[in-house]
Amino acid sequence: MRAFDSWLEGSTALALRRAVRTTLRAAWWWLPGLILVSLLLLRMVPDLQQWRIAEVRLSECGLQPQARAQQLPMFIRGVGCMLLKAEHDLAGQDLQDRALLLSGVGRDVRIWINGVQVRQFDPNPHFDSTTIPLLQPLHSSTLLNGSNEILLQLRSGSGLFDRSFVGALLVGPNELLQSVHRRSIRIGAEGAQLSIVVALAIVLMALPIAWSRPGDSSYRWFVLAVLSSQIYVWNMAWPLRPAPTLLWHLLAHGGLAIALWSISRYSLRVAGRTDEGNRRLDQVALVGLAGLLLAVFDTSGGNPALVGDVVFRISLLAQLLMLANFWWHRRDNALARWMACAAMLCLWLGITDSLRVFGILSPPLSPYVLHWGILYVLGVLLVSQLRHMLAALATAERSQERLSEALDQRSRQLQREFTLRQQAEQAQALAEERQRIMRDMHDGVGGQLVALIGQVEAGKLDVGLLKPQLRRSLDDLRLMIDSLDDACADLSVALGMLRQRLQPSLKGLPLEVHWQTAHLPDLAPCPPEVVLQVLRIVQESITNAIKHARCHRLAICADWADGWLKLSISDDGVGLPANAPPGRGLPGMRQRAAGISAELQISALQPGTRIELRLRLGRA
Amino acid sequence: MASVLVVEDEPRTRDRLAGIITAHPRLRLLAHAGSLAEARAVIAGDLPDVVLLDLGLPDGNGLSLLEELRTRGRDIGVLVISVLGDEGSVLHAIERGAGGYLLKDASDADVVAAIDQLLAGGAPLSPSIAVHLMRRLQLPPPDAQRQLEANVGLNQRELDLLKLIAKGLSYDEVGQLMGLRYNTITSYAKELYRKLQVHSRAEAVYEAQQLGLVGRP
Repeated sequence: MRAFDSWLEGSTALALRRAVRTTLRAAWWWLPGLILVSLLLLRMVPDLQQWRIAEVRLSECGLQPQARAQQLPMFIRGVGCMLLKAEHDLAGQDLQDRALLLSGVGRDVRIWINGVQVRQFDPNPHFDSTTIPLLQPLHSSTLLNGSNEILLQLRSGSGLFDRSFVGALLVGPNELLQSVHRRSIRIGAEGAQLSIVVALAIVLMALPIAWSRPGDSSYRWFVLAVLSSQIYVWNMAWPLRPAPTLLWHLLAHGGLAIALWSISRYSLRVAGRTDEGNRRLDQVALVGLAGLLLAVFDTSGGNPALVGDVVFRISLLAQLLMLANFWWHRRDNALARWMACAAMLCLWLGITDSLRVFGILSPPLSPYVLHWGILYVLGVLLVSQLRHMLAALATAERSQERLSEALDQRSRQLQREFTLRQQAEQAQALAEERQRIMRDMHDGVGGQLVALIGQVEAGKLDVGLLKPQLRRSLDDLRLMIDSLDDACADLSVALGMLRQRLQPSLKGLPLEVHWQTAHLPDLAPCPPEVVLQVLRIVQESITNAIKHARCHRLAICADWADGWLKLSISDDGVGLPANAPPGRGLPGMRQRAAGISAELQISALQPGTRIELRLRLGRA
Repeated sequence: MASVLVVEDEPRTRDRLAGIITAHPRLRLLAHAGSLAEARAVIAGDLPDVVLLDLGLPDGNGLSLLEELRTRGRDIGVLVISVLGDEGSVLHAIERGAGGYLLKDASDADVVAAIDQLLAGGAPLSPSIAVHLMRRLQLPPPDAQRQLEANVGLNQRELDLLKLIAKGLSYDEVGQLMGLRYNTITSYAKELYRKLQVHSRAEAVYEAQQLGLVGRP
């Protein structure tokens, strides 16, 4: 159509060149069809003119047959009997090894030669439209050396579409006619056999797809249709099988109709024209189905098989036209081009075949070639399916490669990000830890040293106080170091460490110290700041008790129950003076406790004081 | 009379320690050294029974002296002098063969007690050291374990002992709870130190094998 458009625009030469180029480029889809048709034509047309019957006379037997007088083929329609009289001149010819070859459609065939009946033949008593391929060897005694009279009687059925016809009636050398007869049958059989092989290949390929798509019925229909289409050609593939039955004929034509229907649906689907196309297609299919049912329940005495034949051909024509339409709209689609090519061939074969079956047009002894067209349709489907599958595979592989590459890239990126993030987090943790340690130093040792320097500078240094103050700084430094030891993340171990640290300085005092910390279970690890603050609070409580309370007994108890660690430091000293300003260090202790979300309680005993620290803490 | 070598670069501490030892009737000061070189010169001549060793010396780390002493074969007790008693450095020294540590500000009595304990075959076990011993010895890596002829893992009794010490119990209290005498516990501690040394050596060998530095047996 592009060529046509260009021509309309005026540049004819360019349009022609483009049309030629386009056609040549598309040769891969029309060339196989051309080759197939050429092969068929070459094999189909034997030069049998010299064996034609010299004269044909038609006699009435019932209704008036329509025929071109004196010429084969001829056919009769409706209830009727054809009596055909032919003369054949055998003057000067060898009478040995002659044979008669008859092709046509009809039943109750009778042949007389020179008044002698040589054959009575009924292909199928219930089925009178079977194509007759008949080869009758003739005895030399029945033939005359001169003009011979051949009388042929043929009956047709009584239905609306019933007809009988004679396509060829030949007398000739037995050997030659036999070879023509065999070839005619073989061409049909080969086409049918090839068609079956291709159909099986398609089914084998389509089955896994049909299975892998449980929600999509189109492929299953497709498989069913391709299989059922082969019922039709099965009998032609092996012509020596018994004559077909009525049921077989119905099945075959129905199956083929379904095949065409589903294949058309499939190609419409592929072309993306599902809605409108399928609606029309379904209408055609319904008409075909109605026709088939009509044929089955036809009580007019007609031939149901013939009705099936007619319905099938109508549906074939309709669907091939639809394929052509499909191609018209999707010329750029490779499958559409294939299908159009196949449709054209099928159409041509189907029309010539139909014309032959209905006796309008027929070369003598032409084999039944419609299934060669079907073979081409199936071949197109096979190739397109293969291409489709290969393309899908390649796409899948490509996308898998792309995916895995993307995955690699992403995981590398994630790895990089993770490393960066980890480094950043580590750096941040490190910075926070440094800051914490600096703060602790500032609060503890640093502050104490600054205070001492202040005292020295002010000249108020009490040498007696210097040693305990320095000792306190060193102890605090050791607490900090202990709290950083990961073994001390378990508070029960940290308390053990504290006890050991304090032991030497407590040893020399007139004081009874009870440690009840050994029965603690293993505790969940605590961050160093919590450990440090707990240790500081305990240490400060002990120091306060010794320094200010003038106690004789000191008890440090630790208990753990229901997710709470309870630490208490009790003394029997003078206690906190009532209404006195808070003792030294007590606000600091409260602050420390609040900093680690612990509860600090100070209660008076009789006598003495108890400091209790409660901290939410799990077990290890 | 046990001979003692003091290796400490800070003169005040060195003099104080030397003074404590000289004053003690059962101890003899072999020499005092302010650097690794001086210490090496001393042990080249005469080997002491006990070394008080500072780790941070002007001409190197005291740990290298530990290695040298161990190769001399004789059982020489080494106490590492530590300012803060931080367990990381102490534990490192124990792995190299130290028998314990001494805080720089320890009282005179504590210094003598530590030396006595060492000479009696004991070793100090702080809670933190106990936890480290548990961690290092409880579950030796299976491959490293295969490399060892002797099993350096902890037995149940040692584990119980370490658990109690980790909670801060004194040797006496542990003894009461476990029904052991003080001396038994100190020898346990010594044994644990030895195991840690064997263990760390085995790990070093294992690591070296993994790195291909030495051949497999």
